[in-house]
Amino acid sequence: MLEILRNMSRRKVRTGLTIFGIVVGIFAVTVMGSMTEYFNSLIDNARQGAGEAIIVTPKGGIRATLSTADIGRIERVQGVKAAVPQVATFYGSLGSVSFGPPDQVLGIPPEQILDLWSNDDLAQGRWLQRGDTYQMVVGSNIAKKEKLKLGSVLEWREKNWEIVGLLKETQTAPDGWLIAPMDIVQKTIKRPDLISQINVIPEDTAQATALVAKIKDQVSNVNVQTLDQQLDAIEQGLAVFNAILLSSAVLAAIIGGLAVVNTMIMSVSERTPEIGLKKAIGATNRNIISEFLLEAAVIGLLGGAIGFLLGWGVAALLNLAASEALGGAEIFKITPRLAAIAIGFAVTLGIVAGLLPAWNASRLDPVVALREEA
Amino acid sequence: MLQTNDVSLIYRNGEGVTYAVKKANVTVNKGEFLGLVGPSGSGKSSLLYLMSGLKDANEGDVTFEGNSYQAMQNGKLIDLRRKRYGFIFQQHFLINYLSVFENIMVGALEQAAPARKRANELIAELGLEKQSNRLPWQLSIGQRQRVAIARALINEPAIVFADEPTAALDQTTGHQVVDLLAQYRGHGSIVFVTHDPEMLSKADRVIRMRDGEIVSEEKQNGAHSREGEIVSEEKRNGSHAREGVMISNEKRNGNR
Repeated sequence: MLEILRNMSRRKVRTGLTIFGIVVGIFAVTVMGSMTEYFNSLIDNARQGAGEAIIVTPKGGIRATLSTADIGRIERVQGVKAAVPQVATFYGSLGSVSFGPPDQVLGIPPEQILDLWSNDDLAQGRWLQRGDTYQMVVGSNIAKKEKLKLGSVLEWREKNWEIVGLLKETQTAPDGWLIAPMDIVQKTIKRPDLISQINVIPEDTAQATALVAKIKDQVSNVNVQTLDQQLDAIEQGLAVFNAILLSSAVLAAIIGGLAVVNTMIMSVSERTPEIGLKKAIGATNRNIISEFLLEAAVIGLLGGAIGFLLGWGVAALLNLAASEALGGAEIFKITPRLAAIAIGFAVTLGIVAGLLPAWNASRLDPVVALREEA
Repeated sequence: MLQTNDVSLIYRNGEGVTYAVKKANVTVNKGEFLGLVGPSGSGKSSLLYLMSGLKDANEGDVTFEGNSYQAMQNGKLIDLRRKRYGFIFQQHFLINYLSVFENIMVGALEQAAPARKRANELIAELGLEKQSNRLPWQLSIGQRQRVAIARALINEPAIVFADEPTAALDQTTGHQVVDLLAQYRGHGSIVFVTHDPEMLSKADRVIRMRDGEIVSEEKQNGAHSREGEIVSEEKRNGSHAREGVMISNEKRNGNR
């Protein structure tokens, strides 16, 4: 190994440029990959907390609404334990920057809150209760961004809201939620009849999918999905986004790999007499291939490690900047899986790039190789 | 110990053929210093390549300690070169990013303590103590060739094949190299190829070549006694017939 590093150090500029090519590619893979890891973690976390809730939304676009009659119809479907209406509206302005789910104010009838949540979901304080008006329970990102504690007062839509509860961090949508009594939210946004969605709790969670079909049959003009199905749809959309993001990064890394091919071909060419000598004194084809592949793998490893560390550093800086701008939200997530993929990919790329030159080196006739000018 | 039996090395030029070596019969006895001399293009280096297994014979066979090269699996011939043979070439072929000590160890079968001890002994014997940690470009041409000799001797080979090791050296340095190699006689055999007959004054036996053929073979005055003996033609033919299992040149070339 030491011998390989010393050989590489003989051509510092060339080796450096080759490693730089890999560094750039793996840097891109790390940064882009950390973004996809963030989105994937949002989905994974949401799925973990999804339970078997069924989501009913109105058909007919963004302005469509459900009605109180719909709640009654759903409640009458056999197998429904509870139907909890909710109204949702953006907390910030529509133009505000957001990575992942936007911050939302959710209006939920206080008396039905515990159908959806439990006291375990609270980090501090209490849930909304009957009789609450301008009280709110807020998610962890909102608390960080607005510097809220229990008893703090938050101004929203020209009203002062008392914070009575803080949610535990979930690393998914609820971190950006502000939950308030539904009727008060409807009044505040001046849409007294708006119901954005109805959360259906099944009597038997194992029958959730069958219940979806029943609701579809018995209630018209609504979309019905389990939360899992909703997440699947989001995940499918994200998969395309992730593929575009990652393939551009992988392309950059492959271009870096071409530099490795070039460097290894040059290396074989320069070291032809050395290869000839080693073969003459008893090195096997496998020995020669291993030597050159190891060199290519070391280039990949160095490039991969440096590229990953750079990517990690930049992701951390961007997270810091985003945290200040967006209130605690991280948009890049470095995971051990990403580290393994980025560095593993770099090493594999190096080895693949070194295969042909290494194979050519191993096939050299020692006598012919020894006649090359040293 | 090593015998060639009517070995030929043929180069094809279009429809014609050129014999680099033609039906050569050579015996290398244990512990002797054998010189191969001839003008440029006489086939002496080609014969050395055939004897050492670096080239496959188009005709005939080579045997080492009774084992036919043709009957050997690819790996065994490579193994033979690694474990039993040493090589010195006209150019030193030192690896320019390795020190003198490390270059010598390139030839070692393993990197363990005994080999390192042997490398240090060779460094001392060849007067390279002060240069042990230097890189090849920091050495004189003669010193580089001495390092190449040490690399060839690190495994105490049965035969050292030296292909014009003095060609790039001045007379004085060339003779020093010959003297160093001659000291190995007795521990192992030396096959020394040169175009300069003066370099073979210490050889036990000298074979002269011209146009790919052996034209004479003579023992030299004051030749050292040796343990081996020349094997009779009959015995050689018998050995060839017993062990001459043919394998294709293409197959062997694939993993030379």
